[in-house]
Amino acid sequence: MIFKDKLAYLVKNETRNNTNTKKYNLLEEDFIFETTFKPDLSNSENEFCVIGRTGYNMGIFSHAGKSIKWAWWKIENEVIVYDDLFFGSKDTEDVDENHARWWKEYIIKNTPIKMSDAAVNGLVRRWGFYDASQPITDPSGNDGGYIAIDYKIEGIPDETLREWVIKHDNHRVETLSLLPEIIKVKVVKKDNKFHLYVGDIFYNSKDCGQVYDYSNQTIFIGVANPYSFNENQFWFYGEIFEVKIYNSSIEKPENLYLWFDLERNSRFKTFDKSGNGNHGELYETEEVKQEKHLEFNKSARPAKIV
Amino acid sequence: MLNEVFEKTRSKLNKVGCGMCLAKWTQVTMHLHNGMTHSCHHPTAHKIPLSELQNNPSALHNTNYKKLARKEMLEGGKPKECDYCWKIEDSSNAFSDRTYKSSEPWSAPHFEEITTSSWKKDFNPKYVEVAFSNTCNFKCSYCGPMYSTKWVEEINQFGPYKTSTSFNSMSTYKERGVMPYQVSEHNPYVEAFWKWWPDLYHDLHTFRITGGEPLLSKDTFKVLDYIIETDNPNKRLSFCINSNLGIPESLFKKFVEKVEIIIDKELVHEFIIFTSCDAYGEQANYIRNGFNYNQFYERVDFLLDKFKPMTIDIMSTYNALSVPSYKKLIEDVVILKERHHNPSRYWGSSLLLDSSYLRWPTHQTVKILDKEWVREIDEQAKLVDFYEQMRTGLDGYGFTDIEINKIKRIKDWFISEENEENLNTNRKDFYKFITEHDKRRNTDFVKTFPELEEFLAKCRVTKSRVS
Repeated sequence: MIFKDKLAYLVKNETRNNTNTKKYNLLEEDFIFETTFKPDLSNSENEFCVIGRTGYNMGIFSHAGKSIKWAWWKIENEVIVYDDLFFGSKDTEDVDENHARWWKEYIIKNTPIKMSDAAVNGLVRRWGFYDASQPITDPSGNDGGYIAIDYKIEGIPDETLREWVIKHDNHRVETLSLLPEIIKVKVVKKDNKFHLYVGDIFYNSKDCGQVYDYSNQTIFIGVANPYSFNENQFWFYGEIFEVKIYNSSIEKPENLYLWFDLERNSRFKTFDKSGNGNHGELYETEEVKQEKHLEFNKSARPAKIV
Repeated sequence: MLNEVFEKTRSKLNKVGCGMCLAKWTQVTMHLHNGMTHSCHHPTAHKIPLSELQNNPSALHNTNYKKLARKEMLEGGKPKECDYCWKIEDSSNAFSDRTYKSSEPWSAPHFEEITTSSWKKDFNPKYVEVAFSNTCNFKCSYCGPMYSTKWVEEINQFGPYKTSTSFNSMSTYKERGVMPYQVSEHNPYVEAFWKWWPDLYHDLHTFRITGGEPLLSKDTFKVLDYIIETDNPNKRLSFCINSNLGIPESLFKKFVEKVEIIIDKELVHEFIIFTSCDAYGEQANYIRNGFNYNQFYERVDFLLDKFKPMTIDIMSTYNALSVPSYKKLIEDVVILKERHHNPSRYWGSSLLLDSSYLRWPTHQTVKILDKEWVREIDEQAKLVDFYEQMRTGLDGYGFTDIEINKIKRIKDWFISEENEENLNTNRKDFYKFITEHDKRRNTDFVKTFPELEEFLAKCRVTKSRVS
């Protein structure tokens, strides 16, 4: 589903008619937040939120689609402080082991043909750290070593691999993004730690600390908090393909809290495929709602809703 | 806000008497096909003495029996026939129906007139339901001879079903003298109605014709013609007709023509059709013998398309056989709700799905099913909630809170405790009823309800083990 013009969905603790069978209290211990999305990089604000909870925001954020973070607030010495798990190399960062490992796994997992270690490492430097100074070897390895190709990917002899690399490289150059075009992010809370997975590959973990009390904080898809002042709303622009929340750190169907594919939508809701009735409720700004009411009321009889 | 209104009404009523209820004056259901009447559906209907009608056709409502109950109310008593409300009031501080009904716009404005008049005085009711005849072309599985001539034919031919309750035996009707008049017979109750009608009509707030199938009754068309032809139409009238919408095409067309005149000329305040459907497709056809789901759907679609202000209310009698396909019915209703949503509808919605659970016959209630079916009913509640109407507006169609909560209530009732002995008896009866039904009506339960094949087999085993 395309998210634009301040479109968002919210999931309440209880639906108005109390038909949902899983409530917020099930998310107080371990959980998983998972989403697959494609940001509209031309239209994204500097920072946006794909899925999160209100209050002191907790959720999956991105800096203009170039990096990912899981942000939350915790209590330290009776003070509420910010923390995050960050995907991407920060400006001041040198080679980061987790980052390099993630890129290596990503390349090995997704490459259309097997590459030598040196070739993988070359791509890791190129894509993970904007460093195109490393050579990329002939993946066939027939020469017994690597062929210097002037570090230009156009010279990769294998056609399938060359196309795959060029596609990724173009995306990187065009967007200056460290991330693939379609991003799958999963955050697992387990043993009082947050574990971040990107593209189904483990990235990093961090202690949760004493997490701020989110038990009554609304879950939003497509925005962090529309009720907050502008700078803290973080509207998402782009396409969200799927959202899953589990009320456990174990991914089993019976542990699903909600599951949106955002394809089955009523006028006001998106369908929860988990069977728990936690349908996402369309959030519309007051201006949009008011406009629609006025239009209807021009010709409407007084409603008698039985 | 509403609670304040009800509190005020209760306080006013209690100043007259702790059993005071305006519905005893303002509301009536008249079963003209067998001469029974009651005000409010909680007290059992009583017979209207023909002698009282001779000089006073309003005795269809103002029977001496009812007047004595009114006297009791005005003098601080609590008529025994109204014990439904007394039970609620004695066990809690909740409002009972006497408060709700006395707060209705067809009741509340008449408080002074009623409480300052003699109990002997006749009173023209404001909310009137009338059944002219039990003529019906359907024989729904949970209905009976009292409301369907098709059922009368079947029972006359085959006798009652051999369940523990002798389902649909007519012997008790005969004993109580409440057998419906046949269409060919002269019916003095209908005759009295037409004497009273010119006087009654202008006082009405709501008039609802039930049956039988009202559109098979000439009296229904006589009412429509009266409204069309009178020089002084009651434009405040909320006019309602129950119909199965399964009548022959020629009659349907005739009905549509009359409705068109009434709506176009704004001869009534609102025109509401109450109809029925309890499931989807062939399963719905099985439950309501004579029903054709596709025709029903097309006619609802047609009526809503033709009459832009009309609201249609589907009174769904949710029973054990509704469960497997109800989600499909919900989806079909949503399509029509969306297609026909407009700002002119009498009740905001074009179409309502009013799901009430069947209580009788007990062998066909949802409670006979295995508890595993709770998941299905629960999903139905979640599905209507998914299609919730959260706002009015150009695109504000969907299910109202009441429509959603009524399905939720079915789930709650389904999971409430049931005496095991009763359950076994009901399941045995279900098996007997279904097997006999298939024989008599040439239907095939297993083919129509493959989801319930195992359950039916289980009911058969229950039968052989216990009996």
